[in-house]
Amino acid sequence: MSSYFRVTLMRSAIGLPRRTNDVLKALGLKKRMATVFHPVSPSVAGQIMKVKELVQVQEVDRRLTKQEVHLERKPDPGYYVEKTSGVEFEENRLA
Amino acid sequence: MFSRTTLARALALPIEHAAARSSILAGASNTTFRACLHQATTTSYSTTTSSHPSAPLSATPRAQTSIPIEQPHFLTPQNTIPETRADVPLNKQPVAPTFDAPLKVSQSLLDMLPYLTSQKPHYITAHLHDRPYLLTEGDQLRLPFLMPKVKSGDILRFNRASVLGSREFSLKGGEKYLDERLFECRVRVMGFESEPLRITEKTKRRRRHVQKVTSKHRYTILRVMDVKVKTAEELLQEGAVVVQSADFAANVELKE
Repeated sequence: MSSYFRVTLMRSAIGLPRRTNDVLKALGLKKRMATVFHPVSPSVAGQIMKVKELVQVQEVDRRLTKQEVHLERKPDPGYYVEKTSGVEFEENRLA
Repeated sequence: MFSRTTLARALALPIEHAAARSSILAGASNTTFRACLHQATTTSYSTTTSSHPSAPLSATPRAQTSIPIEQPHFLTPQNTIPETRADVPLNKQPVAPTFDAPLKVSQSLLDMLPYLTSQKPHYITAHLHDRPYLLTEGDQLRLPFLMPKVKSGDILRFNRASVLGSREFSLKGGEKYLDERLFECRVRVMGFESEPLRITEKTKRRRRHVQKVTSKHRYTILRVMDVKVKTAEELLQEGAVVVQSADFAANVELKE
């Protein structure tokens, strides 16, 4: 079964050596809290190992789209429209 | 932060190989070492040197050391995977919910619920976009934003609450919200309010020019029509199922 690394950049690489920045760039991590997915492979694992102090890693079953990653954080609206004023007006008029 | 087993699996590090090989070596040539150690006392000296196992180690199937975490599935109303910002599942949109399973209530909740329902008025901590608003009947609420796609006169239902309570009792959800079938909270859209025009003066260096940035935000005004905790009879009438186990998160408790 194929699995993926879910890598999130938790700490910024500002002020770190150029090699560290380059590894993050190679992983596709440009800013903090950015999340990327890579298939589990020795080369990716080695890249993650180079920046293990900066990232959070999970092994997941599939890669999410950018919108799906966003939707994980999106809260429920907490309301819905039960009856619009127009509907209520019609009900009162007919009654 | 980084699972060791995951890493070992991904890297296919020779840790396991080395461990396996050393164990095999120890098993196969155990006599050899012993012979070496006890050479002075024993006369026989075995010369079995099985440094290479018969089958290649990489061919032996290794047990999967980690189980990938299953990711949540979000589906758009068209049953596709969300790709763009416009693809929002229905449960994240302000639409009336549909239930496929009946509400599960514990017997203890049903026993305690009359204490709460009989004591009016009730308050509710309703969550709009995960922000709590402590409301009771007759309150006027100015939201800190302009609620989209509503007109004045519309009736809204608030369906995410963390606490329902009265003077002496409260019903708290566990880590999640209370089930929305336990209560009714209706609000009416009264209209929209706008703040006074704000003018911010912005200047740049060495430039005799003042840029004036104006802002005038609009806010939605709501009035709470009713906050009602459903009684046990109403819950059972609406098809609630009584379960004995205490997996239901809501619990009524006496306030300190």
